[in-house]
Amino acid sequence: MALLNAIWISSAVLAAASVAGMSILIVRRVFSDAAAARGEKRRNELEGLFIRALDGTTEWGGLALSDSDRMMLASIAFDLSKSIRGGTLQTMEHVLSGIGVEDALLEALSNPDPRVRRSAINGLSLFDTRRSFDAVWQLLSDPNADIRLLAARVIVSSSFKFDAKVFCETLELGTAVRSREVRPIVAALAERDPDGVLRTIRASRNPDARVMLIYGLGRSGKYGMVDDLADLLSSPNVNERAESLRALSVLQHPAAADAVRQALTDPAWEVRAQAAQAAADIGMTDVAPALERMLDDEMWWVRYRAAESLWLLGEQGQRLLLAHSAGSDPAGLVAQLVIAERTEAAA
Amino acid sequence: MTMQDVVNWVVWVSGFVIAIGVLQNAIYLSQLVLAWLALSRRTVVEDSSNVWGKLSDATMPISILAPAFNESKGIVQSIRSLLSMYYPNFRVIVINDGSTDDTLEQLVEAFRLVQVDRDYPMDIPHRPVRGIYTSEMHSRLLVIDKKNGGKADALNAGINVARTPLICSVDADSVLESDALLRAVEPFIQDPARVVAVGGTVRLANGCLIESGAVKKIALPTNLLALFQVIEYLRAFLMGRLSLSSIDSLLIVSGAFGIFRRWVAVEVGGYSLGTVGEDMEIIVKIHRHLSEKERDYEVVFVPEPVCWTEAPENLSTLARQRRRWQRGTLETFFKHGIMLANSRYGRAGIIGFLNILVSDVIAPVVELFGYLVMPIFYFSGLLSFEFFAAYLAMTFVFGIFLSVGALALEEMQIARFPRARDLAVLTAVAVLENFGYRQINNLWRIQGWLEFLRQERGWGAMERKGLSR
Repeated sequence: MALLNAIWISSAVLAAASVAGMSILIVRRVFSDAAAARGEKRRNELEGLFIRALDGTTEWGGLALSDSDRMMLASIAFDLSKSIRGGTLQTMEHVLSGIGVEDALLEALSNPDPRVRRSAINGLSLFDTRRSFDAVWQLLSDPNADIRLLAARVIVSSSFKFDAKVFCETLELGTAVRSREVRPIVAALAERDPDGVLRTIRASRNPDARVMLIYGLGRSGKYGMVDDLADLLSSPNVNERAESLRALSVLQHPAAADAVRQALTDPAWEVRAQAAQAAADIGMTDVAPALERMLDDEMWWVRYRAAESLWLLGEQGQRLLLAHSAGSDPAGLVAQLVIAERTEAAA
Repeated sequence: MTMQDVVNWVVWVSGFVIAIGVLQNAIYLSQLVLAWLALSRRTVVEDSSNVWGKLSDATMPISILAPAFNESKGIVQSIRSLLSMYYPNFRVIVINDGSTDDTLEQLVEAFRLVQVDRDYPMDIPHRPVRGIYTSEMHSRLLVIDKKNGGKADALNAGINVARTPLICSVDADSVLESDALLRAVEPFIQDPARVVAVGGTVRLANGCLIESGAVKKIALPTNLLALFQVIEYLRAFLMGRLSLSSIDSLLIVSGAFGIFRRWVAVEVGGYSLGTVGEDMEIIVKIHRHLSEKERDYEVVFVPEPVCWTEAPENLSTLARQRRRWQRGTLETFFKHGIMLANSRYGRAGIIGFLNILVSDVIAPVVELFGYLVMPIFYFSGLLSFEFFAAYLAMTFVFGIFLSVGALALEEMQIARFPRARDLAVLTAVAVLENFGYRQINNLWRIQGWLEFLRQERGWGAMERKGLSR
């Protein structure tokens, strides 16, 4: 009986408590809506003042600002920074420093709420100062993955030098590579320090991290990396070979031709498909006969990429494709598909 | 049989009814707690522009599959809405599933479609395709015209034609938020090796202002039946699916909005034909297949609202829908019964299937039985007040806590209802639904059980007022 009593009494108490709790949330919402309206009004005021300060038509002197005002100004400045360039950015940094925004943001980096830390990192990206850089570097070890990645994005776009290998180790790139958000970070890292990235690839034992860093090298735009990427095609790891080819596709440098030619007969279909695409991207017209043979590959994707590449290589490749398109074998079907796609796109 | 024997029997029967109620409510309570934990642990939720900045470089190409059968009235508006999605690289594939009205003609005219020859891998069998069309206006649009074979068959044709690593199934008559794809694809970006399917929250659009295929203003419906369903959807998605996803036991991704890796859909043979719960069945198949292959994988639920759909506002349509849902759940449960409490299938088999067994297979029957016998037992003096009070608490009162708790969870973590007044109305509805609506709903589930036993197959007509204005 005691158990039965406990069941109905606890149910009644929980039901009553939930309704009471919800009533409190409703009251809280009434107040938070009012506070949000006030915040919006204050933001508009600050935005107007800030823009006038950037124009030099208003001075901040004497205006009392709270820490929340400073955070709000950082947010306004961050939004504005996406649409302004050059001297105005420096003026903005100067204006914000003068009213203590950088100090407020540095303090906010230790806030337990990740949203506040996030806003602070965004705000600090406007300050190209050593102390901001050092403070953001510390957040590469933040418990929140989003915060770590945001800090990494800010660091790779700063003007301060750092060691790429230490950066990857501090960010624990080996565990972060599951996130594709890492891609723009490693691309920016490779652009500023391709040799450092190459050293990190050679030193890393994590195949996923190496693949991600190879991706970065491809996006670095540095032709000096072509030979090193070609060397990576001898890796026993399929993903590394495929990513190296992708990188060579992006760089589109003829020095990669020999390595790409060899990869067309790689035992892994992922590599063959990628090599076919790289051949077209680099413009290797001499491999048209090899690509034609690949139209009979056992893998649909290899056939498809080979057909696409033949089309992209121009007249000779397109003639070969047209010749195959009359057939109903796998080569014929894929040739028909690519011709149809390409002529549709052109139409 | 002596009087004492009768009393003992009554006590045992009542104890069983109450025990099932306690078990069911304990499951719901643990779901509420798990959902609370999952929401409070999630990372920062971005606004739309930040989501674009953060993810647009990392997104994978996706094909949105929109099956359409006799959707002539709203199809053009729906497809325009899909084509305006906020996503870097996507294709909309409309599958006209042998419509007998002028759905195809509407599409041909509105999007200047031209028929093309197109080869595609026949990875999953489906009814013959009569033609494939591309648009002269929108390079992202592709229309497949095929013989009628049902929604599952249409989706299978779409999967074959899709040439992207991700596919997204949508209902042609639902409205997606413009950044729905970006938000829902995030788990694939964060964990590309493991995530194979993602489901998003579906919410009710009744009462909302919808213009040009987009929700412009969120508001509550004025129809009481729709209001009850607002609370039900909150419980089902925010509490049920989120909690089960957090412990790797999610067995359903809504057909109105679900994203899959194409390879996994192909490997499991696509959607099964001849079932009314194809959206649940494909997820269960994925769990079963990948567990049997001993692969590491994850099915994820995204709590942010992404898809708006129209709820029935009259009893007969709602009854048909609920009977069909119950039938679909039972079909899947018994078809894949080998997974029940089988450790080979991990938490999906142990927690997910046991959850269905208690909440969908046993509880409706026992609850109906309770409605019939418990008042008789009590008013004939065979049952004590404590037993009857415990029964009433499990059947009527505890539900208030769960419904209001789900609403509180929404307000504290997501807060999509725009006004304090909406919250007050929904609180009242969350209390009210336990007195009458829950019981009627249970009756429909029993009817669904009977239809399942009679092996009925039809979907039943769904009357809609239409979302777009």
